[in-house]
Amino acid sequence: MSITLISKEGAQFLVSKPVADRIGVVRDCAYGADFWLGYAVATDDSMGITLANVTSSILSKILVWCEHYKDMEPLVDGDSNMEFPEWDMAYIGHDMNQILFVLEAADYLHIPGLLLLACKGIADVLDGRNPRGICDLLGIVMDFSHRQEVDMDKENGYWRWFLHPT
Amino acid sequence: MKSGSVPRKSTRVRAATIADGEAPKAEEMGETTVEPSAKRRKMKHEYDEGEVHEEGIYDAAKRASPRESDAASDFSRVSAPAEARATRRVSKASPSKPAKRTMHTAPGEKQVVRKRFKNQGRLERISDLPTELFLEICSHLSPLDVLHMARTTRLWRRTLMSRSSTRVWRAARGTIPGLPDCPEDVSEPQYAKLLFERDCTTCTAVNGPSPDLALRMRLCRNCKRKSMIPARKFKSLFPEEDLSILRIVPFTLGRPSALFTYAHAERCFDAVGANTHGYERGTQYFYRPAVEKMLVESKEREALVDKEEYARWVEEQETRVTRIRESAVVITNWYGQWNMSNRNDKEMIRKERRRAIEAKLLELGYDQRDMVWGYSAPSSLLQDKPLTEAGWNRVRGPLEAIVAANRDVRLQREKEAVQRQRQEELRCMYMTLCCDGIAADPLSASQDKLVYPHPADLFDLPSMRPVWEDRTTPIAPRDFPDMDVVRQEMRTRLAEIERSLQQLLLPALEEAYPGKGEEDAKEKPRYSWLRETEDEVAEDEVAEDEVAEVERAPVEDGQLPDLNHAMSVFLCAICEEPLHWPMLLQHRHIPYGRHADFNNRERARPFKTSMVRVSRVWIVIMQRMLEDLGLPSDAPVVQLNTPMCCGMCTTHCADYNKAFSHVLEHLRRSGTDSKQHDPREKTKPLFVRVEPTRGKSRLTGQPVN
Repeated sequence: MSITLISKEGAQFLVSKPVADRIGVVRDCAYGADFWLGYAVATDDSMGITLANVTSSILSKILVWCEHYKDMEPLVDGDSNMEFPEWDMAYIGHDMNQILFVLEAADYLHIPGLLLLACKGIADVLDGRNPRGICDLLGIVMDFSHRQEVDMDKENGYWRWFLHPT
Repeated sequence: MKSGSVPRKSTRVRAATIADGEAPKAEEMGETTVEPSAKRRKMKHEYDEGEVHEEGIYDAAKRASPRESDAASDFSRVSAPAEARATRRVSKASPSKPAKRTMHTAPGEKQVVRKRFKNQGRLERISDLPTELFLEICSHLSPLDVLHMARTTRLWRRTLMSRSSTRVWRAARGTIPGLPDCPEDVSEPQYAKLLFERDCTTCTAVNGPSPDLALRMRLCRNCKRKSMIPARKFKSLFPEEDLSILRIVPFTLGRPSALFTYAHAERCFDAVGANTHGYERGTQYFYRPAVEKMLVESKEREALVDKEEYARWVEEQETRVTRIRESAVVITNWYGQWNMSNRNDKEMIRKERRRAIEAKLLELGYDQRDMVWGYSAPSSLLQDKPLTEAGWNRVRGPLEAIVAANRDVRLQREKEAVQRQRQEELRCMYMTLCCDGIAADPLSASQDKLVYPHPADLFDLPSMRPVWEDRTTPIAPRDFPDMDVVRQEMRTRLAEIERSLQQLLLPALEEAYPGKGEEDAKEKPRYSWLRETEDEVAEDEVAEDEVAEVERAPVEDGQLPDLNHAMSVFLCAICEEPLHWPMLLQHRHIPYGRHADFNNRERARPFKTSMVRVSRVWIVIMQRMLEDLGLPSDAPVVQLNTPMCCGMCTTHCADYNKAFSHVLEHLRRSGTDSKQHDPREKTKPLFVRVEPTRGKSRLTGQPVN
């Protein structure tokens, strides 16, 4: 059995069931009703599921991931110190814009494994930057005044907390 | 962050957009002040990385606008502050985009426009992500990175400093393997700041002081001296107070010496502390503000509550101090190991980077021998980051320049070594041919010596240069150029030298001869003949240029002096020994320089006129010598080869050179107070001829009488 996924632009992707199972929204949409209604909603190959928030390029990229993990379980949760497989890191790459799209799409499509991977990819980009560097990267303006910045540098809440444990 | 990697040192870039003096106040920035009750409520549910609530220094919750407070309360989408977004929009949509570094600012406003870099703004959509996703991303960062994220905008600061973000901090802590749990008395941001930020806690000096985990602080040396007090000074500082108060104040001890390890520190419970604070080891050191505060607080408590409750409070405080020290032992052990492993990791990464760079350079065709970096190795080589392709493209140019320069130097040295070898071969050949009398014509200044030109002059001949200059194979006798050509070139060369010497000598001779010289002497001060020598030394710097000019000046042969005359005396430019032609060609300083390095014959230089000097005084003395010995003024040098003694002290001198130098020494010593030693005063002979005695030789330097 296969399911047709329709991207934002209207492009159609025919995916097999194991691949579609990786996409939470599709799984719920196609088979979730089976649990409640006693029958599946999507029983016909011709039926397509429109994913209005996902563009074709991102959807095709996501399907690559789903295809890769159709027979094995991806890393979903656990220690934040966990090591992702090399394939995953190569898949997510360093294109920051694309990683963000993948992250949003993974959130929308409810793919926890891919969401985790995208978060990891973004965290790797942010890793080791000082606040000014982060602001530059994110294109935001630090809204702390210089005095406040200095105060933040000087601050040491420990003794205050120790002496005034409120 | 990868597991085990080091949080990068916080390099606080202070390219503030607004100057200190022009920083707007809180009211100007449209910030609101919250009510005290609200403030207290926020203090309960928020971490304080160090916000100073009471003194009015920055407090994220206090400063946040109501809109932002509301937004954060229901976990709406995390977005950049409106002001920031507006700025961004304006800068993007501006039809006439200003030049890169010439942003328009309000009159009088000082704005530093930072240079854009490649990835600037590439992740700007992260501001529009839902809060959960933002927190999920933050949970993959290291604690220091989360701290940095919290310092970017007020909204994010409030989000991340909220107690609801504990999960994020815990997850961030999990990225550092083996990191002990956050102690009870420290909040997560404080813990991250204490362990991973290297600034001094009080003065923010970035000199990387070690954390004093028993005090939960990092203090630089100056701050330690100012704010740390040893227990034994308590009574002198607080004479009215009871010493028992120190039991309820956290303290640190002097660090065990280098012989003690962290394992030892674990065994010795008390030996926890980053350093000795400038005092002896084994003493308890207290943070003075904490002691003062605790004194005030204990007095207040004592006055307010009864004795039992006060005793209970003291007991609680003691327990608290004990817990702090227990946790400090654990964290100190971990910190030491982590620091060490980090250092090793960095070193390995640096080595790997260096190997990768060298491999790349080898691929480009450079030699391993040229990759000598030395102490001034470029910083790009020593970075503790693996080499990427982009990184290689960045560092390639400077590194290639260094390696290419090294290669040029090496090739030049190798070439010089080969040339020296060839010259040595050629020199041996030349000596043999000179002995056979076929290499060059001897110059006979005296009857008992044959003077040949130095090999250095030979190598400089046009016919000889191709033989050794670019040759790699050893030189055979058949490679020696035609003898007649060599002799002819040598003759020409010697004639040039002779002519340049004559031209150099001529002005001094004209001055020294009676008449003109005496007139000049009258015009000059009393001992000007000695000062003239100093002047000549001072003028030595420009001597070479003058010589070159003299050489170029056309002089008729008839006017030039005869170099074979005794009056034609030169001085070595280094030792000022009197020299005559052609013996000066073999003076030790002429080909071998100041240090007369005979062992390194390859350093010999061909003769240059600048190697000798002339002096009117010397010529006058020589003239006096001729007169005292009863010789005519045009006597050749050969006639001076007779033993003589000094006219002033009767010291015996074996030859005229010795006598000349001896008298010169006399004149120098007594030049300031004696007119009788002026060589132009002819009342007393300066030199006395000594008739050779039979059967009894006299040593040089012995007085005759």
